Amino acid sequence: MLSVKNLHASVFDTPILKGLNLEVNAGEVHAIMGPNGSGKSTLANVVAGRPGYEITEGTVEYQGKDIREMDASERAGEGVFLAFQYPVEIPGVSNMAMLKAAINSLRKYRGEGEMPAAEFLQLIKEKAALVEMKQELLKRSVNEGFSGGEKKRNEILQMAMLEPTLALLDETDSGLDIDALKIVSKGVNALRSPERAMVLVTHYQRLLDYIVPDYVHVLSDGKIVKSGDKSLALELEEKGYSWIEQELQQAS
Amino acid sequence: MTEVVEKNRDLKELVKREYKEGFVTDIESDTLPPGLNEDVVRIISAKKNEPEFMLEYRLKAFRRWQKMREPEWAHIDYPKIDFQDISYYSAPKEMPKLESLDQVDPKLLETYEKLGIPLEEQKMLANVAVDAVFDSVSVRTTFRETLSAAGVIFMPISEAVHEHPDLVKKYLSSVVPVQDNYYAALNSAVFSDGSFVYIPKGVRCPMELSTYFRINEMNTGQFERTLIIAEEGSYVSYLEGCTAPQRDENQLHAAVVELVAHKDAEIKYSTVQNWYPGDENGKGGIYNFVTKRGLCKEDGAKISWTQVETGSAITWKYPSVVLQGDNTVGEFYSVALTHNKQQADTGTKMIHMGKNTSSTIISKGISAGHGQNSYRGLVKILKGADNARNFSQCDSLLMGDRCGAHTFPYVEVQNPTANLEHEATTSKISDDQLFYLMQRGLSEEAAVSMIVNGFCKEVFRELPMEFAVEAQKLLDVSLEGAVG
Amino acid sequence: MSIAADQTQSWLDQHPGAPLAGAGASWLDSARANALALFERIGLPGVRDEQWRYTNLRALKSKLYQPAANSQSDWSLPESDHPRFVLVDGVYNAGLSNLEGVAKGVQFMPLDDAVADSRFDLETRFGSTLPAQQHGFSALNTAYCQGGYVLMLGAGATSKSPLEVLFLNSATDSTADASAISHTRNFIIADANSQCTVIERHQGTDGSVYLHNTITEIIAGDNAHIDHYKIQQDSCDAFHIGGVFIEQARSAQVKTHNLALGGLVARNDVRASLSGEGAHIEMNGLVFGRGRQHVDNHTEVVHAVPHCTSDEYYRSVLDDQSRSVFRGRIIVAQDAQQTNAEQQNNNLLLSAGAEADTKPQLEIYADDVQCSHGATVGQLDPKSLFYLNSRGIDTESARALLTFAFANEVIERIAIESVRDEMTQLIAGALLDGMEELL
Repeated sequence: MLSVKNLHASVFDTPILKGLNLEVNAGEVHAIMGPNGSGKSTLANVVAGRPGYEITEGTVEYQGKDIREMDASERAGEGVFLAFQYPVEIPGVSNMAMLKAAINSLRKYRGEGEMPAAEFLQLIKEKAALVEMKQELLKRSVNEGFSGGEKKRNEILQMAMLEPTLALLDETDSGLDIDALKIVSKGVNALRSPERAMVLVTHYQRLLDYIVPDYVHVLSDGKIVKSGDKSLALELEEKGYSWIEQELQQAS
Repeated sequence: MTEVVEKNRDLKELVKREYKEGFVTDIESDTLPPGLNEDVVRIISAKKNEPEFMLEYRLKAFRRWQKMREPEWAHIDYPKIDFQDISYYSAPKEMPKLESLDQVDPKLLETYEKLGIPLEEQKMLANVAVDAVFDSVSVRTTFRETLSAAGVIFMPISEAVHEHPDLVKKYLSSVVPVQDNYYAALNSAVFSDGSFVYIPKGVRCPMELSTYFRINEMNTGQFERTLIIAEEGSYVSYLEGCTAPQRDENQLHAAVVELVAHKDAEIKYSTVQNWYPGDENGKGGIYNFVTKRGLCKEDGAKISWTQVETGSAITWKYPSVVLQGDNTVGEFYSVALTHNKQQADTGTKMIHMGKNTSSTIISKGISAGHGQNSYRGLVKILKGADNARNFSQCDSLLMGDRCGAHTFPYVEVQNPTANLEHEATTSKISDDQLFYLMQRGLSEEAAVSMIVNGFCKEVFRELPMEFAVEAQKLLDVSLEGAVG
Repeated sequence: MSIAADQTQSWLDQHPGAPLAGAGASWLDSARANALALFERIGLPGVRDEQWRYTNLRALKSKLYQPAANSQSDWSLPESDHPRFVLVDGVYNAGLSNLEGVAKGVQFMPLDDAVADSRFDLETRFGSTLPAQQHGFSALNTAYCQGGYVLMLGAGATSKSPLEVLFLNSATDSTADASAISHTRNFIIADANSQCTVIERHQGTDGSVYLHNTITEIIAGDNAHIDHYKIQQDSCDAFHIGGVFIEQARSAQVKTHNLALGGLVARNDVRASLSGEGAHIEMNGLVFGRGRQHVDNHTEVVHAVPHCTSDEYYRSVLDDQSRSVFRGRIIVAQDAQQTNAEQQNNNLLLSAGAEADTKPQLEIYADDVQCSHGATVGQLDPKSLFYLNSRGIDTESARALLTFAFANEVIERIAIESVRDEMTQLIAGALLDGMEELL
């Protein structure tokens, strides 16, 4: 589904990714781990098409299409979703209004008509229950005055509503207490399906206790330096990132 | 009959006297040649058949005006206006009626469409003949009947001068004195026409006066004059302007609006201003120099101004409230947008005189292209105004690196029991907000529109419902080409 | 002759034979002549002047002035371990000064000497920081400045100890025909990476009537760090007209503290021009108005280039019939992207006769900016008063405590502990006898 080859990318002219390769198939959950500054978030943002994140070399194919020239809304139309590490506040725009506009934009992109209001209301009620989101938060301005946990739950609610094919979760666990983490994980797990792929970017192994990945990759200095299954995450937790770095040094 | 003949003779005398230097104008002509002097003022008054007190009023204003100078303190820049190069009277022109919308400029129709203006209204705006049911005359008649049953007086001020001279005498310039400022003095001397509204004691005006307006022609000329009086315990909501783009041959507009609210009365005055802003190079466009002021004359009165200003090359406008009675309330909600080379210097004055008075100011300025947008406001708490409260919030949004946003609030407090809070912010549409919405599937244009409308929400919700929707669309249309 | 022109002439007549600093330097003589010509054209400001609309100078203008003829000589100054520069009635007094112990690379001397010393290059620097549109007092200052201090720090020079400057004004004889007038002009010139703290104290005996017109020009080079304190404790019958004008190069960090406690009419302009990327200005101010005092603070920050920051914090406490005027202007030039500018002005009215006028202004011509200002005018919170009352504190003490807390927000921004303590004592003591001991 997602095929990243020899990806080099810069963030506002600073090179961050330096030859990254990643293959993700439908139905799979991949976890990307690594120390601060290794390029984890950059990878998610480059795939989502964030302005200022520039591909300098290599290819990104999604469902067989080269998406490098598409802007963020076109990639969203193709089914790419990014759950933000720092969800943005938009004063005066209600959560509901934003979601409705988003759903209808995606449907338009796919040549479908607008979603009837009743169907939308039913859907949002159902999905809000999934992430235990209070109704009043839906009417409030997007993320404005939300607690850290509410913001992250709101990201998962949006993901549930927009039903992406590829979901990129950028440090969705950071800043969450254990209860919030459980709710968010429950939401994410409910969205796992054979048609959908997920890429979890995380700093801590803790999240992977709740969302069990099929593959774990370790990123260091802009490249994937080690891949494995869930046990790799556990090993990392135990030995720390310096273990990988030492290993790399020995190898070279 | 003899009276009329005499009047005509007088007029001819006047005209001859005035233009003895060279040319003579036919009194039947529709437009006076450019220039302003006492005789022109006399002619305007005579043309309108005004009673003596109006002529005196106009002459007094004219004499004051001659001694005044154009204000130069505003943050606007334009070539000097030659006031002797303007014609001060022209009879309303009858536009040729079109048969169908097919004859209308398709670009104009496209804009109407984007603004979501209903088809029948599009026809009226474009001067296309309408079906009998929608004929403005018949609708107007129905409205008039409803209003007069309630005792509401609503008519052109030129008619009110004749039909209700006592009211006009009593209230005209009771809020905005003729010498208030340069443009108000000019308006008082030469005003063309405008609305007169009188709501009797205890009456809640049975309809939004906007509804009435929208099916009326608003060809009141460049010097519009409006006077609204709300008697004890009454309520009226009045809306001027509309979202449809308006063009006018006259470059200078100098209107005066006066509101008087008696005990426990409430006046809500909303404006949507979309005069021709000039092209992207700043050529053409209306100069809009407006004086608007409301007087909460007695206890418990409330006056609320809401404005959406997207048009005009230059806007100079400060709708104000004088809180004279105790427990009075003043409000000002404003969205002002400047794009291309537009300039706006707008805001409000809240003058607290009575006890327990409160005022709220919410101003949202949007600058795009080379637009220059200034908020200028005064909150003044006088000595006797115990327990006065004011909250002001002035936010500016910048789009593009060649526009400007400026904030010039003045706060003057002479009473220690006052509580005032003023906040202002200036920022641009953040790249993070744009990316967030685009990542959710919105196009860049839709994302910008959503952020801008969110920014203006506190003001839009003060507008009558149908206008709030149009006002949102108006912003989108006005900002076309501002991003990217 | 019009009244205004008359007045202007009478001002010009008041300075015959006044001692002038640096007389004889031809560039300065011609600068003075130009300033006089400017003054003749513009005269003193009036209330029709937008920048003076809230400050009526009638009382100031109604008096006759001349430079002090007999300066007071019996000063008893408190001990100080800092280098100390003393001016009496605008003129340097070597006997009272102590310039020993100035750090290496630091020059600290009277204006007279600096004018004659080409190392200071005052010819180019004199007046270079003043705004294009000057008011009449600035012009008079250039025309008639009698003295002042010049502080120059070479590249990398650091003055660990604060440098203190005292502007003393002699007690005046109330039967004299004219009041004393003095004009002082000062310079802080800090080369790259230098660092210093300057404390200016302006003082006079209560009851004395005089006019002190003072300007300090600060030129901060790359990455220079300057803390400037102005503690204005002029006589409560005196007129103080001041200006602090700052030019900042790349990454220069300047903090100004303007503590306005004295004067019958005190006007102070602080203006910073941020001309190098990464420059930062902090402007703090406290007005403590009593009696019929009128204090007018005008600040202006010009963000001329990208990536600069400014932070302004002015508070006024106003009792009796006092009045405070604040005008804060932030200008962000067209290309000054990534600007971050903040401004706060809070006013506390304690009595029915007090008045606060505040005019915060933002003029923004760039788009990628974060700018905000806030202004409040209010009184002590009745809920807090009640709370303190209910804890057994009498109303007078409770009011004093809450008022102090309001002022303390500015005092806490003072970096020098001794000055912070001094201000705490002073304000607390003035609010309530003995309160200073509780804090």
